Amino acid sequence: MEYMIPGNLVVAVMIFAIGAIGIMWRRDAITIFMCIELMFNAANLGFITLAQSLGKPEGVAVFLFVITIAAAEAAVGLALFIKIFDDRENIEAEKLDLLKR
Amino acid sequence: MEYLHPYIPILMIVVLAAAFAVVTIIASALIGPHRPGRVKALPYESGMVPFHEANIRLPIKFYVVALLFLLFDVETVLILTWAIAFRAPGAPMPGFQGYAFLVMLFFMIILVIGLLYEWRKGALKWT
Amino acid sequence: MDPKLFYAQVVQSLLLTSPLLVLLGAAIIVLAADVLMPRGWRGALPWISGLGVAAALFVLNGMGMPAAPQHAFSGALVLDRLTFLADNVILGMALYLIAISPRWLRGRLVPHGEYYALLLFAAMAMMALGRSSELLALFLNFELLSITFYVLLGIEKRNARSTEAGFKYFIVGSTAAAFLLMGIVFVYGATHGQTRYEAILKALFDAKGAVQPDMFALGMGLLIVGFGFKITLAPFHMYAPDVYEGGPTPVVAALATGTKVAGFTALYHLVAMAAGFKAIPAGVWAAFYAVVMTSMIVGNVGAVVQPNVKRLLAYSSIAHSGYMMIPLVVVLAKPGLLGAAEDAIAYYMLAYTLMTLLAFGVISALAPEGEGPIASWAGLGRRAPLRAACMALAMISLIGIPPTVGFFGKLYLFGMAIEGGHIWLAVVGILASVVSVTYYLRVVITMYMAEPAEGAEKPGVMGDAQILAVGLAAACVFVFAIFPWLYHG
Repeated sequence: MEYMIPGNLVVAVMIFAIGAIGIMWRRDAITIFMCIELMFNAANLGFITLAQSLGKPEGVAVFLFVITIAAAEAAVGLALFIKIFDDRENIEAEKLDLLKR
Repeated sequence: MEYLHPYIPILMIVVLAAAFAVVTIIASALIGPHRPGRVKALPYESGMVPFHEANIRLPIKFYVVALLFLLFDVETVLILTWAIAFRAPGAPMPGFQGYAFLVMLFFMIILVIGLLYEWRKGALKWT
Repeated sequence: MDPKLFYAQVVQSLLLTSPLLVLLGAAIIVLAADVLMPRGWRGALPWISGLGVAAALFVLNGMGMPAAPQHAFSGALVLDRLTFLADNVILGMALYLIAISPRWLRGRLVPHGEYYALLLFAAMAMMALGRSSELLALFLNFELLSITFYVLLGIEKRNARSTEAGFKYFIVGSTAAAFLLMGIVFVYGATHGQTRYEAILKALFDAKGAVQPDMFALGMGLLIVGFGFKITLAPFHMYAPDVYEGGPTPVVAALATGTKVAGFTALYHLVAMAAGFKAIPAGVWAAFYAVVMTSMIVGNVGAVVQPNVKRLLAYSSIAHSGYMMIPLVVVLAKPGLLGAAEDAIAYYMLAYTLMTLLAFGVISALAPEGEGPIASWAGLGRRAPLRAACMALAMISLIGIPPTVGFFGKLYLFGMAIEGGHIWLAVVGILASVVSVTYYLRVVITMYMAEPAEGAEKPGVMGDAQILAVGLAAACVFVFAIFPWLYHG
């Protein structure tokens, strides 16, 4: 059966890839976190695209849950960032090496 | 009717907005008079005289308030969509609204417990 | 639909999820008690949480083991044999951790109310994750568990190592969640908008073949990557040693055992859904195979050089995840073995939880000294004979020497590999276990043979609850090995 891949899904995959690469290459924790949010939003875009192209409006509701979850996660994560910044005056992921031997 | 694609107007707005910004900046740089002075070089603070570095560390209280706001703000997203869907046609059965109401009530109770908890913990006190 | 029938279903769903609701209620009561009670009464918090877990255990076992899978909330959650057993293991773990925590918390700057409440939330999230049978519910429960652990790992606010562990788990956990979500998107798209496992299963084996196989395989691959982070499979394991070393010991115990139990239960349901689907490309299958192999090898080889017991247990957990994946690899091609795989996973999750909890219980009973390098364990055989014996038992069981649970667990798993025709998995698994003897025995030898350093003192005495918990776990290592029917009938 022929299956059309909606164009927006390709965009979503590209955004997701940008986020994934950013996580690996960036050092600043805030930027890494932004990359993670980028990946979440790529998935959101994918969900909405598919829901529309499949004609399933309830699929659109998923992004509401994802956004709520991402907000809760951001709250906890940023609290950790601030705590770490308090301790060492920077939040570069590579300088967090208390636990490396 | 390819030329009436729904994204075309959006594209036009984007181009117009960008063009407007670029044109204004270039035009003012070209035609405007240039008389720089010390007062003019100061950062704009809505008429206040700046008295120290802008790059300071803010009290952690701001962060706590922002966090609590963020959480409750995002819950609103769920509640609003629920409210819109509540009376929308296409409910699976007559008594469905009662169920939807109970579900939201449960959610709100959890939220209120959270609010009471942070109140008792003193997170809402500024001093 | 008839409203009466609908409300009957809602009530049925609430009954099925009642253990989770009991835990939720208990957690809220703990939080309320924390802010309302006078400060001197904090000693009551572990008792309240313990009672809550006991109530949840009572409710769960009051329902009995379900004969057939029962669905709650229109198929979002499922209660079947495996989830019933997993729930029991998770609740047992929660009781154990609550028993060992008060002693470990003494003298540390940890908010007690939040600590116990979050432990209960974590147990609830684990049960919910294991029970998920719908993709959106899977994501929500996955995140619920992750967020709970970000806080729990960083809960020792004044300890830079604890916050660093929380931070690292945060970065890794959210990345995992993003991969999981993207996987869900692809599965959703490939099956034309299905999210319930039952519906996906039906679509997969529908004669009309409406499912887009490549997209489905990609989605399943991303889902497994997401879970790979959570259950520390090999290419996604890099964070585990740091997080295990820095995190609060009882929390790390929960992370090592409960998360894995929940993750494997959820993963089993996912794999059971796709098992036997012919159109999955061979590359995906090979990747799955490679992940299992590398987990077993990296875990066991990496553990050999670890200077610290908690780091050693992190690598051990990677290796054991590799072992536990064997049945899942086998059933992917041979759905006829699903029942046997369920048994093997159910038994091994109990075995792994018991022996790892025993080890972490001893570490927390020796804290803060025991959380340091292995060298500081020298001479414990004389300085703290009971704890040394329990640790030795845990190590022997982790190696897989009879008559302990570890032995029978591995027997089931490697038996599955041979039955499924994957001799190489069994061979690598057994060779890896042979390597594991070196590092597990190193701990035992340090405790019994090495001379303690100058000025090493007798470690502080254990609390009553702690002795009871560690002793019970030690007894269970034998009991469930000799009478496995006590567990899964």
